[in-house]
Amino acid sequence: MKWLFAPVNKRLLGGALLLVMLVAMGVFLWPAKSPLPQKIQGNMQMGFYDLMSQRKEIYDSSMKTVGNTILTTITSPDDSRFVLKGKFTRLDLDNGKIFFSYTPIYSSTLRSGLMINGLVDLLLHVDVWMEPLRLNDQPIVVGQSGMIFLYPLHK
Amino acid sequence: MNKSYFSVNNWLVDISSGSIFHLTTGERKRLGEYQLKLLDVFIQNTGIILTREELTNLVWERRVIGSNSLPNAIHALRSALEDDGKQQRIIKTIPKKGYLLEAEYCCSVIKEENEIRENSDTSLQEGSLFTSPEQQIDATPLSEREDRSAENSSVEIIEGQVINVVPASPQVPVQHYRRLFIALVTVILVALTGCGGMWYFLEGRQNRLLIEEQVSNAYSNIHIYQVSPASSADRNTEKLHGKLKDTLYQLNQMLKAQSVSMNIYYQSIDQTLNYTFSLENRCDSKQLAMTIYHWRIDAQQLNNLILRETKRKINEMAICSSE
Repeated sequence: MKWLFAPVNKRLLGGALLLVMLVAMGVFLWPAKSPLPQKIQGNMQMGFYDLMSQRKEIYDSSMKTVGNTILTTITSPDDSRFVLKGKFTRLDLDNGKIFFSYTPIYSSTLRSGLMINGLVDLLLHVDVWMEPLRLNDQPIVVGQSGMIFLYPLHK
Repeated sequence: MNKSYFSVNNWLVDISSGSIFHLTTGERKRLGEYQLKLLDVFIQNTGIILTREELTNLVWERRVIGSNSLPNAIHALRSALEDDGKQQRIIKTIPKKGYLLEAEYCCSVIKEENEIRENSDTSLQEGSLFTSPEQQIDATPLSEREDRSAENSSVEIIEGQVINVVPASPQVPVQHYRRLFIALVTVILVALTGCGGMWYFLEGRQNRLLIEEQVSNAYSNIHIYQVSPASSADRNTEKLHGKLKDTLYQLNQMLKAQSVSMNIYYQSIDQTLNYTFSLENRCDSKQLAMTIYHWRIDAQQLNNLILRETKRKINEMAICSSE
């Protein structure tokens, strides 16, 4: 058997080249998807405030990356009994947003009416996203609730 | 010099070289003397039913031939033109009448004579190297094959090259339509892909968050950055530093005295202000991520809160040694 050379259709070739260019454009010019830092370990402080009811809640949060999950421990400097442990499992990346599912590991009996309960309830019912950004070499992460924190974490 | 040729089912008939030449693949098949003559007779009478007697007289003239010679030659010609006895798309058997070459498969083609001849010469030489009697495309029974070989009507497959086709008759070649169709489909696909990709690209950009510095050089030790979705960055005219002007001035004095720099990052989502500040000196750094609900209801309370919490964190900063 002898192989024949297939005739080259210039239009088809042009179309295919254009397609390749578009795909390349999509890959290279896509908004930069800077991933979350591979190893997260540190502490940060977060505060919930309500000007209407003039309430304030301060929490210390520690985070640690274990494989594909981020383990978090939240404690309160005002209430030594308060402990909230959970893990964020990384799901997928969509439009620069990294989605996580939250699984509670341990929680002390939470007092009702706390502002942090609103955040916990959101985490339990929705796969939340975090969007990594960068400003002058400073990595910044914005959560779905709008909370902003900087890396590396410092208390 | 341009010369007009006939083509049947995209096979250009080159009488002078005694072969047919495929216009797309460039494949060349050499026809036997009587097959070529038969094809020539068919071409001259395209769309007309020719009786067996007429064909025998026109092709074999006064020679004495066997009863199977004409059917065998027809069969071989059908094979060469990629037709077969069952489908009979190109050469049709009209029962009790004769045979007919279907006009829709015929068209005339204008081609440079030298080009055809060159192809013919080179390919025939090549063909003679690769073709053996076993490679004949005829799949008819042995008896029929023997009969045909007696009539010197073997068909050989020989490689050729691709040539460009210029339609010359009102019958536009099917190939031309096919190419146009493929080109059209390609253009539509590319356009759709381009539009889809661009839409997805722009949509993705719209959903991204942007960080923008609000007032540069207003404070020596404070930088303020606003985080907002790319889609509404231009529509958001709210400037937080206007509401916190006095507090920020006071804090800047304090930071300056203690050689601490502060960056503020904020994002307002409806009635909630996400306000994170980071403090940094030579030996320590701190940050506080604040979520302030109902932040719009009282500017004074907001100022007091931010002043108090920032002072608290400044006071937590380690004092660096003076070296």
